[in-house]
Amino acid sequence: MTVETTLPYRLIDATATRSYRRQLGEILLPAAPPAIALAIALGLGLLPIELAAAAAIAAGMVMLYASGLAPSKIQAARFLDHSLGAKDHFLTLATAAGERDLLTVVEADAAAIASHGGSARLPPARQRPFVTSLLLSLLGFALLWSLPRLSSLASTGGGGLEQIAAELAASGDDELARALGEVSRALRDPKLSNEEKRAKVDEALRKLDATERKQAAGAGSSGGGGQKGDPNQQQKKGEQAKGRGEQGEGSGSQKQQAAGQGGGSGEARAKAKQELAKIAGELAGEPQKAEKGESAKQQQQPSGGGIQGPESGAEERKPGERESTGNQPGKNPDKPGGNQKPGGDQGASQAERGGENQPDQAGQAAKPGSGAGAEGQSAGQRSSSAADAKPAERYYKAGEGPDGTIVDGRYVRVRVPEENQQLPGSERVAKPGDASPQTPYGNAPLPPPGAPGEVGAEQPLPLEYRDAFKTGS
Amino acid sequence: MNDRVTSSEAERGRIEAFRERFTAIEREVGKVIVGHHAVLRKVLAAFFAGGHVLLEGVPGLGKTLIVRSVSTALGLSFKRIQFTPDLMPSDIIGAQILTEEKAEREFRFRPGPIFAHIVLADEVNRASPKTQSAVLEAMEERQVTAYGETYPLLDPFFVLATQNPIELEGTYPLPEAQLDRFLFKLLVESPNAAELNEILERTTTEHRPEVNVIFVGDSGQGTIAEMRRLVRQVLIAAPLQEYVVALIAATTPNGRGSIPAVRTYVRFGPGPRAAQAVVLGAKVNALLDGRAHASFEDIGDVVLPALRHRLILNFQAEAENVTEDGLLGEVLRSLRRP
Repeated sequence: MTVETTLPYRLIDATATRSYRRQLGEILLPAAPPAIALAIALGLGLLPIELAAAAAIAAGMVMLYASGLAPSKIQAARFLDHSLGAKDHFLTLATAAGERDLLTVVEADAAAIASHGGSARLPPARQRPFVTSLLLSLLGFALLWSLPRLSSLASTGGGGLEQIAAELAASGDDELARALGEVSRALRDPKLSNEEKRAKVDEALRKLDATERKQAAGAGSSGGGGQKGDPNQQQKKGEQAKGRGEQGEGSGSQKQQAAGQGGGSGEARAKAKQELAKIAGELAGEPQKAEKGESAKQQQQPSGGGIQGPESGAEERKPGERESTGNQPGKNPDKPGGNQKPGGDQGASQAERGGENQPDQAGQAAKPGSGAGAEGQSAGQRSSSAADAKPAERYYKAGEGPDGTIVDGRYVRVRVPEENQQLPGSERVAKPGDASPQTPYGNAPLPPPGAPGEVGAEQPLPLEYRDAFKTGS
Repeated sequence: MNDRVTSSEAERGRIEAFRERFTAIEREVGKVIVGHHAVLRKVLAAFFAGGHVLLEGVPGLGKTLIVRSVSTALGLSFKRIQFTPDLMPSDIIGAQILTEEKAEREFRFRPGPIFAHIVLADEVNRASPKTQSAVLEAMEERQVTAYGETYPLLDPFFVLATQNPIELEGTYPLPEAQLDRFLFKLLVESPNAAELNEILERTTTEHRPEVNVIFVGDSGQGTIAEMRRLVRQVLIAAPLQEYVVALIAATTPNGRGSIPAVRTYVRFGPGPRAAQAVVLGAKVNALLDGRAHASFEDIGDVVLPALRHRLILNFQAEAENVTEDGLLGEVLRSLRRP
């Protein structure tokens, strides 16, 4: 009995320690396999340093949480009370402070319970940590597997290349598809330097150009019979359409006719070229260069535009969108060649390039879907003469005239009141007994012309609209 | 270590003595009171915890008999005050009267019925608030002030008040401040068939059982004081105390962890006296179970009598027949033990 009085305390301490170890294990066990996997990946160089740092931070957080754990005597006492059938004896002992008169009674009772009840065992370990550990490990490995791919994709946009390669392969351009695939793989390869990647990209660009040239030459020799391919005819058409407001529709429908398989692969090639130019810019690490890539993308539109599919054609033939077509006078009639929208650039660049890239105008124009190019070209040719031409009024909205004038507009001249002058009637409040209060005529609807009470041409403006008018003016 | 064992045996002896005396009082009162074991136990628990009790029940259930029997068994002085609407505070506290002694006249304070160990305030809700409030100071401070002079009350001082829940006409419901001064509010239920049969046997025959005095004289009062001291020595673990605090907070509308039902139906929650009542009641329960420490079970046993009169419900609760006991049961179920 004398020895047993300390038994409850020892039991509480032992149970608390065991419980603490169990908790620690349950926290660290699931974290261990992913941590080991990360360490191995780091050792093998499969992991970028940023991710390693993130993993280290995560591991640090887990360790910090684990370090905050402490053996809880209260929990242990509660567990002992429950498992040994005590009525909070151990809980009282675990939290008792100081020497109390009745504490010895509680100690003796708890000792008796502990000696009769035997050693309390901790409940069986939960299965969840094992399952969690397994799942986390699998997740970790999956993450490691995909991280290099994801990171290279994120940094270089290789995913777009693969998609374009698939499009090219589908349209029969196997060679280009292979080249793009190689570039995509090279971009994902963390072992390759940026220079090597850039070389791959340049090589792919060269291949792309060569293929385009080859195809252009082939098309030039075999095509040329298209109605749309004749530049003279196109120009003629453009001129005929000018002033009738039908140009957009005409060219658009022609482009739709020109859509075909060649258009599809051409579009994919254009995309590939844009993507490669962009990647080349990014790899060079120069924002300006990347920008240049973007502008190159736009400048490549002519050749791309020449083989554009029906979508671009449809886009260009939107009525009223005079700014987006290359064969119209343009927004600013003073500028030769119209505005700087793709169509205009298209024409201009085609004109500038001359025969360098387009050995045969007829042949190039004969390519399926080359309507826009032809149109741009014709617009470019017309640009100098169109500079002095009268603006095409058909492109203005109803009521809109050149130089900001208003055509067929009907308006009423209003008199803006003085700042502090109160207009009679504008703020009049009806008094009781006022049988027919006069409606402030500034807010009243205008009677039709010729009707009784017709208002004059000059109307006072209600005070509340004064600011609006001033702002508007 | 031997000292600890000796001490343990001595303390255990005190606890056993408490139990025996308590059981003896229960046995003696049980001679005249049929049933109402739980009520009787709580009345005695409140007495040894140092609180007062409010008994609520319809007339004729033996409320007054319980009190009279308890006072007889405890060997303490007993006074009964029948509360009526015209009862004045001086009728309870006492008054100064003009006395003439040796040809000298002087005012002397004549103590009222409050000056007793056990006071039965019968139908306490029939007196006006002015009279009710006269009991307030006595219940809490154990002293009364009359004509600018303070008089201490007897020790032990125990107020047992009864009230009838069905008659509302001509009554003055006890204010919250006064209700809070009762440690427990006990509901006296009607007897079942067997108990009623037993009541008839005892009250309609020649045999009249008598209650024996357990505590006799000054030594008896010393024993009562010792028993009261022992109650306060009972240990209560910190998590249990936190549980009581959480319980009080959970029954307060704006308290932490209050359940939606409390927020919906309770106008005012219990205060610190409620927590004291729960802990003291739990300690008495622990001693009666032969333990020197309180447990969760002990707390759960006294939650209803200690808190039911301290929950002030709103009109919505009344309209929807929501009771204090129902709400407290819900709170107990929702409250997690630490």
